[in-house]
Amino acid sequence: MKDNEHLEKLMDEILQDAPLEQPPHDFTHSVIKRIEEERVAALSYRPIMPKWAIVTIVIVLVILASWGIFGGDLASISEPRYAKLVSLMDSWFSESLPVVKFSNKTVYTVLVIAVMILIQTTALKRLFDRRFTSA
Amino acid sequence: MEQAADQLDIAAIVNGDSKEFAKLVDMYKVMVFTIAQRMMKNREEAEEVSQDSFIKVYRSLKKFKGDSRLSTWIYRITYNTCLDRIKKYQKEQGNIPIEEVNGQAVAEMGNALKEMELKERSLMVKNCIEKLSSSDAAILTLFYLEERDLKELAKILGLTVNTAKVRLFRARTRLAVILRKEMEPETISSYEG
Repeated sequence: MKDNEHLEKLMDEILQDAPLEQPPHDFTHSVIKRIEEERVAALSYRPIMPKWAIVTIVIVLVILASWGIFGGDLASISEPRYAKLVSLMDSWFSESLPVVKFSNKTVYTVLVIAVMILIQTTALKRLFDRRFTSA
Repeated sequence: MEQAADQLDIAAIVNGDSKEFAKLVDMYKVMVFTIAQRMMKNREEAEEVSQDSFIKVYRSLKKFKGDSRLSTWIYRITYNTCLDRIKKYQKEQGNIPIEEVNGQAVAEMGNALKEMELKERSLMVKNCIEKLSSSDAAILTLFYLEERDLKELAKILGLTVNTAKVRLFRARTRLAVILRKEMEPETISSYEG
């Protein structure tokens, strides 16, 4: 028992004197750099919707489109309905669109709004980019 | 150390303040690197594991409830990160068998060590720690970093206080065995002379 106490005392003495290891001088900088990189990557690549939701939506859209095109009968490829749809759209563009007339006032208003949105989008993008990179 | 830790603004770090986190890294990097170096036995790997540990600390700081010391929590993350790396690459060094170190041998070693120059003694202790298994090196390092608090040591290792005590005793004995082997009888007698 006494031997153990002596051993404990000796180990206490030598281990308290044991030198601590020094990390490289740029250690803190490297850690912060990795954190910044991770944060930027997370901001750039994080999808708004999870993958499964995107896949589900795509599947549903494909089913709906197929149903719309083939009239609910996927087997009737020999007589496709999409040809009719395309010809209908064609006639709508050629017949109905020229009839629509916009006043000069409406055209200028839409133009000004479009320019404003463009400027604001660019300014906001720069603002957010600066905020995320300097944080 | 804990007084200095009190000055850290944890909320700011959680909100993404890198400068405040850099303060935390500066405060704990030597201890974290020491644990990693002694467990991994390799400087490059120790650097990588230490960086990984700090990144884990950054990611999970919002979960830190303050029911243990911040240092204990950080050392626990470091210890577990090292263990994961060791398991992944199966690098665990085997333990040397425990031999009895009697009182006379302890006294002889103690006298010889006292006579040694501080630099020489530090180097010898460092070499002996390197020869310990990762788990023994971790137990001894953590015990002294945590100011010889067995409860904190047990928390870091995820053990009961009694089990931690037994492991600490075994680790100390193994270190003594290595130290005795490292110090040839001639060396001991030359310092005793």
